[in-house]
Amino acid sequence: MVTFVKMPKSSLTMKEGTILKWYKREGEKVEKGEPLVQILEEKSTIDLEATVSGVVKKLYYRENQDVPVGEVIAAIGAPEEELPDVGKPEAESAPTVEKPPTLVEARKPESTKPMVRASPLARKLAEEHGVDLTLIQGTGPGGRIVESDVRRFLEERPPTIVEERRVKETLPLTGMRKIIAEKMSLSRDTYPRITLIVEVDASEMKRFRERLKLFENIDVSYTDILVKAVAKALTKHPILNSTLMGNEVKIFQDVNIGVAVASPLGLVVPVIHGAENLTLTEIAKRSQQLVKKAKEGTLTRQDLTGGTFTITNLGMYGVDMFTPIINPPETAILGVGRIRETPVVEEGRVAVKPTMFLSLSVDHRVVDGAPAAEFMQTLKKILEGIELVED
Amino acid sequence: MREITYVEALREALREEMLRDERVFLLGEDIGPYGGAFTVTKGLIEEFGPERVRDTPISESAIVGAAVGAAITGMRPVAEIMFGDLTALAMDQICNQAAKIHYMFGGQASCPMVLRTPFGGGVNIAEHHSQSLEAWFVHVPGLKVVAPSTPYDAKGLLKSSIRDDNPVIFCEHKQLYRVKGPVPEEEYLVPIGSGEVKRVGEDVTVIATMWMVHKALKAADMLAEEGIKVEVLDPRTLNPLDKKLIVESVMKTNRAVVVSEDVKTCGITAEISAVIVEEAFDYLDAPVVRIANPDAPIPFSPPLENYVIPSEERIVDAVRKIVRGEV
Repeated sequence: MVTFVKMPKSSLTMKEGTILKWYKREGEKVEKGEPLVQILEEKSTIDLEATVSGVVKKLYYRENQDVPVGEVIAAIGAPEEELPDVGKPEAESAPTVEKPPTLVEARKPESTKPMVRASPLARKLAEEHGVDLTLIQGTGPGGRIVESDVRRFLEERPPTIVEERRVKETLPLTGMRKIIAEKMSLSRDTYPRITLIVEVDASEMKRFRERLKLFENIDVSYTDILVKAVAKALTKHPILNSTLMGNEVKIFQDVNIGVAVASPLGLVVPVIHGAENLTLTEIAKRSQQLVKKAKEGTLTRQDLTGGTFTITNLGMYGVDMFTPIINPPETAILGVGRIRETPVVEEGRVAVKPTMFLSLSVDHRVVDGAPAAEFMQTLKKILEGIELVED
Repeated sequence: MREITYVEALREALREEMLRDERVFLLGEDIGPYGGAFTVTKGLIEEFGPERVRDTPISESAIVGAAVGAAITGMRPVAEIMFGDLTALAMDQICNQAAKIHYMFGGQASCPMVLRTPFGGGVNIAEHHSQSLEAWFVHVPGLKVVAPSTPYDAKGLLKSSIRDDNPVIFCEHKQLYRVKGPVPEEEYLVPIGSGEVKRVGEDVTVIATMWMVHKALKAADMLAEEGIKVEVLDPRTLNPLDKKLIVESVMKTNRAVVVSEDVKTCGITAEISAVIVEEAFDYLDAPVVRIANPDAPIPFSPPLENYVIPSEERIVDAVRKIVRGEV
């Protein structure tokens, strides 16, 4: 059986290699493991060893020729064996003139990509492990790559890819980071998500907050106001306060709003339970407790479970708007951007007003765009009106 | 467990079903006092009388036609055609009548008949008495085709075939009639459409039918001495084929050799290979190898007959090659 030797690919970016030196001539015996050819890769030279023992039947390229990765460069077989006609190029036999061939001259005018012969199982295995089949030397009939070739390659493959970029520090994906990673992947992979973005006039919110501080000496955050407003809007649009379980959408009785908080361990989402029945001051008090516990890392399981809707506010970091990822198993999440002074056109006149962007991501399996938009309309009305004072 | 022959197993199945259901009756050439060319029905006329064990004139078309008519009108006939080759004379009754009646009457009529007939060569009875024509019937929708390789399977499948409401072509094999094997005395059935792993292995799956199952098992013994572990599968039913069993085995071994005694072109091996390529493609590490008769009539000359019918050596050779990565 004739074994074809191919131009190896030793880095992700390598497209061709230059044959610097043939260690063996045609007709010469070669032992498995003996160096066959010296090759110049992008920046370094390597010696390619013969993978089988036999006689060098054919060398397809001369020294100093550039050869595309995967191209057959030599054939090794038994002494008496006929070389099958595989339509490989003849090495140019014209005698070299005094001038040594330059790289440009030696380049073959056209190099068609070779069809890689591999068994279906070998292909599947290579695909699973992200292996480029052109790097593998097949040992099956006619050089076909079979399962064992891929397995051998995987065992012998040096882990080059990571090493090419120097790693400064390795952080294990454990604990909280791992949970976040798993939850977010689950959400991205299974929730067909749409995000609706609405600009809200924050004038009333701002005034309301200042009045509360001035007259009652109560501190409420914008997030607290949003919790209250969202809870109210959810009682009118309960479909967003739900979860999809199998073939059923379960709409929750209680409105338990999770508020995303950055803790030293990573993202945590403590929950304000029964938010629809709490006054704004109660919400503010509860939320202050939870944030404090989050920073201290003393949140209990009770504090972290049972959420039915999540609010995530990046306004304090100067973020204008973003598209949040739904917190499974919930159906929707509200992203809150910063409040900033904006020129607003009203009745043909430009006025300067504080505005903010709200972005609602919903699970499209449960809710369509229109009902989600209606929820945002309600929320906008609540935030821009004075309905908050009623509490 | 007691051991009986394939013929005795078939006879027991017929007798038990005739005792169980009075609608079951037999018809065919010389199946009465003579006991059938291969003695399958021997003694049954004495027990059940000439009404239920009916000798017929030498007309295959009349035998099957009568069975079809009886089946439509509520009986459960078991017709015997003395040699499988002679089903050619009854092809219209089998393929255009029996197979289609249920469909053509919108499901209001059914044709619960069994056609028993022996196929296969190896006994030097030449072109007209040695063919393996199972694939003809597999090609006709509306027929079930059963092809047991052991006495146990023969009995269990014949009982299932008689109870089936569809026309069943029950393929027997002349080489298997004298084969002995364990058969329990208590009643059992082998379901139609279920194949069986006859030997567990992990290097290569050999799927074989009827006589070839025995050759494959012998080949597997020889290969085991070389350390090659062969899994031998017997589909037992050719239509419907137990695709799941075949595909799962190939997914495990990644290599398949298909052996059948019929001709290669459009034969049983073609169908099974196609199933493997369609449903287990990503698991194949080598091309599917087929071993079958060359596309030629079975010769009368014993050496030539031995040459055309797949042998243990051919199976051993093919398995060695596929395991060594030479195909």
